[in-house]
Amino acid sequence: MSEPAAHSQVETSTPKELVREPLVLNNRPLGWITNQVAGIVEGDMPKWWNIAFGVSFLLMLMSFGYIGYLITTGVGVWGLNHPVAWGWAIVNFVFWIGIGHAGTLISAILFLLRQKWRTSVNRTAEAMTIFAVICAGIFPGIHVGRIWLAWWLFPLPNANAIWPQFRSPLLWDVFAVSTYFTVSLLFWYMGLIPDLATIRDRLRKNAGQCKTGLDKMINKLKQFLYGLFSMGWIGSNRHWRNYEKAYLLLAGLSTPLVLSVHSIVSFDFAVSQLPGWHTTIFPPYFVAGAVFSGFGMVLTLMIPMRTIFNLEEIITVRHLELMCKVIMATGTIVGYAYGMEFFIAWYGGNPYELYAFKNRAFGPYWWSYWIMISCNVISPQLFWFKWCRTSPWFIFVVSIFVNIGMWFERFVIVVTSLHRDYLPASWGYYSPTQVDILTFVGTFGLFMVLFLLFIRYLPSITIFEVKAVTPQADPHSVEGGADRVKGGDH
Amino acid sequence: MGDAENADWNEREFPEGAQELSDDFSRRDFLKLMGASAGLAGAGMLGVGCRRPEEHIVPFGSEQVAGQDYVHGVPMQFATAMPTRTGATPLLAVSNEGRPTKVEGNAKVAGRSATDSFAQASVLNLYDPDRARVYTKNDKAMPGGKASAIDQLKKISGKTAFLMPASTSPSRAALIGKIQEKMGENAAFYVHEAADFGVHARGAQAAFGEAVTPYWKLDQAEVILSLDCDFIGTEEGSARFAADFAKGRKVAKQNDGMNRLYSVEALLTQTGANADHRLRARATAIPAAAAFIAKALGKAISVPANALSEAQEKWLAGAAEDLKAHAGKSLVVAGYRQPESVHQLAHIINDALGNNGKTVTFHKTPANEFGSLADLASDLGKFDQVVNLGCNPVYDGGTDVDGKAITEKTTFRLTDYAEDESHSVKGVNAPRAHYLESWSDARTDDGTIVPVQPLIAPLFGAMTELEVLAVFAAGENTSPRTGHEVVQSTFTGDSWERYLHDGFLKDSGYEEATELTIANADVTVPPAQAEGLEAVFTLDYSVGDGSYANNGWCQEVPDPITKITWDNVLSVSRQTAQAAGLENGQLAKVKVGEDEVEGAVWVQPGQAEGTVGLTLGYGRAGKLRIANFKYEGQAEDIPVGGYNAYAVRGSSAVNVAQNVSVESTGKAYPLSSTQEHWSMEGRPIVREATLKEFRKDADFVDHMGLGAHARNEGPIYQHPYKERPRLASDMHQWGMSIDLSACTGCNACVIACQSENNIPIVGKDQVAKGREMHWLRIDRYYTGRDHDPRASAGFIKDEGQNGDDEQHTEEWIDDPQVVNQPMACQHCENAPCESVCPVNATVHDEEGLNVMVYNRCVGTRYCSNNCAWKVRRFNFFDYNKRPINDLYGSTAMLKPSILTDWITSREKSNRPEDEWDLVKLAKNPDVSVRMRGVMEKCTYCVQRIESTKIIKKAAAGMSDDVQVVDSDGLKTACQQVCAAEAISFGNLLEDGSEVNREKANPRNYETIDFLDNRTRTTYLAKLRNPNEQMPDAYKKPFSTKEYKAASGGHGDDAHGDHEEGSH
Amino acid sequence: MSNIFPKWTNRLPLILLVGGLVAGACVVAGVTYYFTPKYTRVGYEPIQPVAFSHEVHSGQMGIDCRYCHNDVDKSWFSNIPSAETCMKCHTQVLADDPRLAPIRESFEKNKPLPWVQIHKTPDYVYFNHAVHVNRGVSCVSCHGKVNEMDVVKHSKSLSMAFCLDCHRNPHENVRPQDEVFNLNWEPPAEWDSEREGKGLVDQMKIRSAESCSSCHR
Repeated sequence: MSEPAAHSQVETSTPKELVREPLVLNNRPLGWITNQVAGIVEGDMPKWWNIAFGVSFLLMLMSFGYIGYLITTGVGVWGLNHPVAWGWAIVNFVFWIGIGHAGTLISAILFLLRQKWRTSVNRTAEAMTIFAVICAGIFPGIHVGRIWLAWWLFPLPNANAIWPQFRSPLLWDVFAVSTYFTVSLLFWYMGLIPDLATIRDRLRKNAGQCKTGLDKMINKLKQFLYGLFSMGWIGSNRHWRNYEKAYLLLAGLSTPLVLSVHSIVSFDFAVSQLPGWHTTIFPPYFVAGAVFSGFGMVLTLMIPMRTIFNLEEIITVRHLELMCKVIMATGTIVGYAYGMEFFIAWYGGNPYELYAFKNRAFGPYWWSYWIMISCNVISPQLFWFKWCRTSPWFIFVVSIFVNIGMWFERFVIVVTSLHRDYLPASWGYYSPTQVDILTFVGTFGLFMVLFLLFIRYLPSITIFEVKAVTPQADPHSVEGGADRVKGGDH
Repeated sequence: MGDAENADWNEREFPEGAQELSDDFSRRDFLKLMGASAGLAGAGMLGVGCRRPEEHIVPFGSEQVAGQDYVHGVPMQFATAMPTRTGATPLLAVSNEGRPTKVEGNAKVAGRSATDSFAQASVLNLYDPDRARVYTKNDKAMPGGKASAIDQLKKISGKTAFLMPASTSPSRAALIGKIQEKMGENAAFYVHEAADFGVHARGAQAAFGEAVTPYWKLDQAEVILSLDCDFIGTEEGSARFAADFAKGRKVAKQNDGMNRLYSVEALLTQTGANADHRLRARATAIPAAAAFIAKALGKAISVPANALSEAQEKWLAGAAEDLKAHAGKSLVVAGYRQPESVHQLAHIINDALGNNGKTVTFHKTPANEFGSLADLASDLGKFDQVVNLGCNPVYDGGTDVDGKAITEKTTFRLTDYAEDESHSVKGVNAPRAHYLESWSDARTDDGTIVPVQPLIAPLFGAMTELEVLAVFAAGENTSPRTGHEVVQSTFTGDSWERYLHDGFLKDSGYEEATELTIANADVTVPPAQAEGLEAVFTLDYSVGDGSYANNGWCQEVPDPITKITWDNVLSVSRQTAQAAGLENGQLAKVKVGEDEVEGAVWVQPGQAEGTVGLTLGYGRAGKLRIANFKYEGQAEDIPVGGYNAYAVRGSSAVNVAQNVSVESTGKAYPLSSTQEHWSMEGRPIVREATLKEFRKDADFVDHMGLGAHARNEGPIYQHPYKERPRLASDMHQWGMSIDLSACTGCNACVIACQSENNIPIVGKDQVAKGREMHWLRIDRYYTGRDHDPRASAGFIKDEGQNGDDEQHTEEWIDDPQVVNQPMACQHCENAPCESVCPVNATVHDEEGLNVMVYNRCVGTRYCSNNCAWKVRRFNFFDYNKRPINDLYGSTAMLKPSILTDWITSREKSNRPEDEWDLVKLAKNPDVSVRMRGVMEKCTYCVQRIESTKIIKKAAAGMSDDVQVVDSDGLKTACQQVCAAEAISFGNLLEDGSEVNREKANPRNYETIDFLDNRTRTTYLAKLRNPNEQMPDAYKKPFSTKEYKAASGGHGDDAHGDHEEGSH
Repeated sequence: MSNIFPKWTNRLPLILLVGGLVAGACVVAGVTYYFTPKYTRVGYEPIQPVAFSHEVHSGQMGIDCRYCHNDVDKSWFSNIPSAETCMKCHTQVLADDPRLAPIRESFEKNKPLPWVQIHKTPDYVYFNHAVHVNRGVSCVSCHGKVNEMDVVKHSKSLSMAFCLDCHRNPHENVRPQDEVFNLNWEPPAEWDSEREGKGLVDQMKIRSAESCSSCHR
């Protein structure tokens, strides 16, 4: 790695304040970016990766084991009861779906808004989205009592002449989540194609360096696979034009999905008549919460990654800071929503609803409510201070809090509303079992397995897009612009 | 079927009974093949993917086997009766494919189709897998079975003591007479029951000097005073009492009269819970209370000093005034727990009030000529052997009786369970026949003779006591008569067929004793215990004296007062618990004299200070899997199945023991309660008013709740008939009305529903988790005089397991009012459950039912979440197919062999074969048995609706007479069993139908009406009839006060405090 | 690209397309065959312990269905006759026919004959024969022309859609009550189900329910 070049001495006529902080620090040459990102994929993985993968894999297996136990034995292995018929499974589902939102927001909405800083984080964020939706998708599937009949939720023609019930929000979920997953996957894969081609080409270049026969074979196989998935990308002008059009279209398609998916997930609750669920504020509140939690997760993943792979110059503190601002904004919206719920409960004059909210704060589950408030409302407010949003380790800690807080938000909504509703005679208490807890923990294993495989085998930063936002890529840049670029493989 | 398979199915002495196949086909096959509707087996729901296996239909070999009237698939009813301690419950038992599955009260005899909860649960006893199945001698099976047992009986000679349960059977009396004639001095008879109801007769004898038994007519009484008499609950014949009492509680018009109940008691009983005025008093102070009343009515009775507090005396004086004002229309009743003197006083008071012959009559009943268990214990040395016809002296004999010694002398014993406490090691143990497989007879509480006829051949070749006695009556060389012959020979009427068909013998009631006069007005009133603790022993509402302890329905039905399942508790009041350092839910040691027992403490609202309530019937030993239910993961050092209160119950203090000490052990004991929260939180769920308020404002229910205040925003959920008008039937629209004034909270409906609808039990741990499956539950709320729900509002001071760990420390629970509310699916028209089900598994049908389609349900449980009443029940496990202590074992993963089992026999899962067969036999074939992962709930007994409709339609043929009306006899199971007739159900489109009449009552209201779910089940508000002159008078029921307090006095401003008549 | 992908990969899209189509067709065929009652049941024609011919008894001799299935109008269950019913005639007719040996044995030893069940609804379906045959729905509607079957076979799918079809349009299937057991009945020429059928439906107040509770409990 070379030292930063001493370009900064160049005098310019632009006032210093107006110079935007570059998105890639230290004015790295474009080839360096490729080397840096593709190097992760090409090189051997360090020991920690193997350990992390091993641990995650075991966690994932544990989760699958518990799911097997659940399916063969019955939903009773969870802590559910009457009145709390939805517990951790639904909490986890909403939690994971929410996590996914940051990816789509970064990749689609920020793209449409021409926010260039998205380039260095969007790939990882999108990958996170897909893996989170996979984790999320598990739960509604396994939470039903007779999973082998869950296909009845799909509108398939059948000899019984009955259809699913289209008024049910659960059915809307089926469509919303599957659409969301499909579009996100396509969008992510689209963006990967040029970079996959880069890796393919680099593999060919490196083929000569293979020493053993085995290495050669692996190289060949990799070439084949990367070649297959890059779908014949050669970076021609036509390819680029088609690519950009398609990417724009998908970005346009994804944008409403960011809003719709979590709105529809929130309908699961809002459409009911349960005090604490039946609230019109839910759709925007859920979307804001989802973005909030998604950014939290992005930061949780990104901060260690940039350190480990020396990507601090591509994923800069400025990136982190911008994300912190999003967290702060959405966290404040969420806080407002919490306040509004209480206000409406009081203002609406419905004693059942008022009780439901009082019970959240002061009932048997008071602790979950106050964990939620401290993590979601109080902790992001620290980002008003510049130091707080520019110190990576501090951000990391807060991002963990955000994750915890948002999980608890869903817990509070699902469980505290259910456990005490209309008739005091049916009030009850819910606590999770080992199966509940470890299945959820295991989904982190699944998530990490997928994520680790992702950083191992796919370029975790969009090489070509990052290049496009470097000063060199800007012909008007004082840093020199296009003369330093030879066209080539970007 | 194990042993049952060996039973000779063709042996039948009763043509009316079950229809059987020949030897080659076991009953199991029979059911599997012909009872196609018997179960919604997993196979049916899973196996659509494979070509069907070849199945067979097996016809009867000949019509004779089938029986002349038998039509396969049409249930038959047979009149029979369930013998009780002091009488019998006349029944119509329903037989499906030859197996009795349900019993109903025989309205021809009792005037109503109601029974108590025990009669309902008794069906399950027949199919109890723990029943004794083989004849044993020296603990070895006797290969000859019943025949060799009879041989053994024939060999018995010498001095023989017969120990028998109480019975009113004329046949048994006749046989005993024959035996006494034949054996003379060599035979002696002793009768034992754990609970002695003979005190009613002894009290009357003491008062009138004649052998008479009082026969209360509560429907004739306007003012009733109960002296520790739980006539709605644990007294014998409670169904009749509840029915008669409820007649005086149903107020339809403003000028209707209403009875008034005063109750003096130590424990909070169901009767106290239904009282208008209730006085807490130590059990030993109740004689003084009786004496005080007698004195207040001018009788020269001395009241023990210091027994009553000033406040109590004031209360009693007020009650006495009211009684006096209603002379001839009042009634004082004394409970079986009280000593003879109290009964004597009650008769004196009734006599003074002129009630005798009006609200209470007297039957001339035969005097008891038999000794007691204690007598047998002291006479034991005189006998060579004991023949035990079904008693369990080791368990319930009490501390003074050496039950072991009796057992050692027992050479022959009839027993329900193979290895219970009094199992005779050396003698013969013979399985005792269930009444549904026995020939016998009995007399109801008014003396009417009723037959007990079998519906099925004894499943395990069991014997009845009549058959045993018949052996002795016949002597050595003659073959004994069968039960059938014995009963027929005792029969004295004209037509045996008529007798069996109707189920009673006309005009066979006891003779009424008239012109009784008080022979003995001099009553010695025992002194009260002033300080320290006293113990009160009470029969359990769920398992009785312990004979229903192995009945899963009884164990799991919540106690009507405590709502605790599967256990008994040591109940104490809040202050007594504090004073004695007792913690709710902790094990404590009760010491009575030298004896002690450990049980879980329960702080019981409304209990008298200084009293510990001990419930009998639990703590059974032996191989009784339900009574000693142990769940997976249960701590080893925690006792199972409650504590045995008989272990501290001496013959000198059978009902009340003095000078008792209780000491906490500090160990926690898990209790499973179905209702953790006691307060209604000021919500207008059960709406109440006093009679006076009702008279001023008949529509008071409309002024309560958000429904009265909120602007109607229109329903959240679309009315299905609005969406699809074509859907609504113009023939039937079903509805239900429940009169909360009449409901006594007795639980009979809960068990009737369980029996009718194949509802599984789930086990103690599952109940603790809130997974009980009862479709119909009875919510019980305590309300407090000055309780402001906003003060506590159910917010919790610590985060304990059930979230309500502090309510038992609050002061308002000391003297609460109690309200009960039967709660089942409300069959909403705008049903919230329907619109959220993604697969259309719960939908509205043409006739207004909110239908639950089990075979379509995938189990998202969303419907349950969206139900405001939380009446939907989810099968978290395969409760039907798994033994309930093996729910967590995975079928496939943990026990690989079960996977192969499942493939070869998917039907039974991992239930043992013998158990599974019995489990299946008890099922109602008209109701699907639900598998795991499926939601279920009350269906208004849709199977009964459909079958009534079908019968009507099939009879109508081409005509259009197909509308089901009240006279077609359609009743839901809960309605049919309700003694109080609190539940009405019927067709809303029938003019003048019972349900329409009830719904026209101004007290009619919907719970949580503001949601606009439009429930088809509505309630009639509860009325209380307080006496304004009483020291504890109240102008509004406590719940109404709580409601007003919780709604911030708003109700007073807007809709009037109707007390002042300002509205 | 050439040195990454061997030549055969040029045909890969085609292979995938064809393979996919074949696999898809197999799945559809398999599901249709194994999951639909129409295919799994219709045509089921098992061998019975005694070769009883409905064609002979019902078709040629004209014995009424209810002579043997005598509970069909009383119960949900249409009973199979006991051997005694057979022997009412077969003590005279074909009294020694070896084909009837199992019947005679069954009668003498009171040992039931295990007939193979052909028509069966799942356990959770509560079909009731009595209410149909007493209200103008003929046997033929669900069982086909049994009187023309030498060996009885499953002729209608009896799927839920099959039931619903009729329950939604009862007028197309009702007939005068006295023709219910006449399997050869054809509507007269002037019969118009829109008029006559609906007339019967009105006359009998037939409210054939389409909601779940009519069959599932």
